[in-house]
Amino acid sequence: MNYGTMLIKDIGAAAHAVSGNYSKNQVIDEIKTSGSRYGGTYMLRAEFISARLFLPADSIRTETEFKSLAERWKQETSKLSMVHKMAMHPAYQRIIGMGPKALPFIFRELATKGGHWLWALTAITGLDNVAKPEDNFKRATEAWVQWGRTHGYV
Amino acid sequence: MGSDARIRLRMSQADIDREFPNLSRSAYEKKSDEDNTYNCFAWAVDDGRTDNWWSPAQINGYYWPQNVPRGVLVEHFVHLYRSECGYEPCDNGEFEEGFEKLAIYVDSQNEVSHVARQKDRHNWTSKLGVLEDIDHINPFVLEPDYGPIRQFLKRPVKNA
Repeated sequence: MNYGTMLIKDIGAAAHAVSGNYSKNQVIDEIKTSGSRYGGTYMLRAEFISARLFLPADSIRTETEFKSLAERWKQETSKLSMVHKMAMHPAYQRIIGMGPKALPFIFRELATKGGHWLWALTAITGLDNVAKPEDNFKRATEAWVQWGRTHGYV
Repeated sequence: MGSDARIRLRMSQADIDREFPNLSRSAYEKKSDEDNTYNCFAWAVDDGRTDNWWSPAQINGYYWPQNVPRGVLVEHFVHLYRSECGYEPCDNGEFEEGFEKLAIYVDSQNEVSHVARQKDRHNWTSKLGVLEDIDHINPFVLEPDYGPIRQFLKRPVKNA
């Protein structure tokens, strides 16, 4: 069988990008069963690589845009303590404006680096009860990461 | 210290230099690593609370006392520190034996931007956003970056 390699850092995001002949679940199954992972590189059947190449642009664009916006937001708000000032930053607002497409990337950030994504997650999902009123920031972050895990984003 | 830690410390110092271009290195000393889980408003309390991010934002995960009106103005923060810690407004940030003081800064929109705490006769302490804690020689060295100090508060030192 013809195999190739593809750099995948986020299975959900990669699978989300693939369309055409394969469903998202088919692609996730393929990625999970196709071989060993070497530092984020998976072995995939060539046809799946072709499938991804067929329509990866949207996801890659989304990820690139997210990274660029998130980096700008972090750099320009790092000395702030007021959450509403952080959340009203134009880059953060644009991330919220990306809607559910941003969720895989937000959850990746949240799970690996933490950070002030609670406002964006609440805005995008419309859920205000994932974290509890009595939760401190760390527990609230953990609650959201768990929610993201349950819903396939982490 | 491993090379990774050294790199992290250098980068962190660079972050402060970049974000606070008006803050002379001789005017402060970095006292912690970066931490995005607590802020200056929590750090101002007692010997420095690090268990939460204090904010009037109504998002679960941020702390604001239930009996304090939510808001971003000086009056809201005077209420906050009076209610939570027994601070009262005072005229200046001069050291007074038997008292500890806070300085409340405001930005160009007259919204609270920062709070610093007096540690002793020679030092104030601040948590810089999501960055580090620093000791600084007086509260005014942060005014170019956070705006003017609008209000000082004081309370008796515990066990004084």
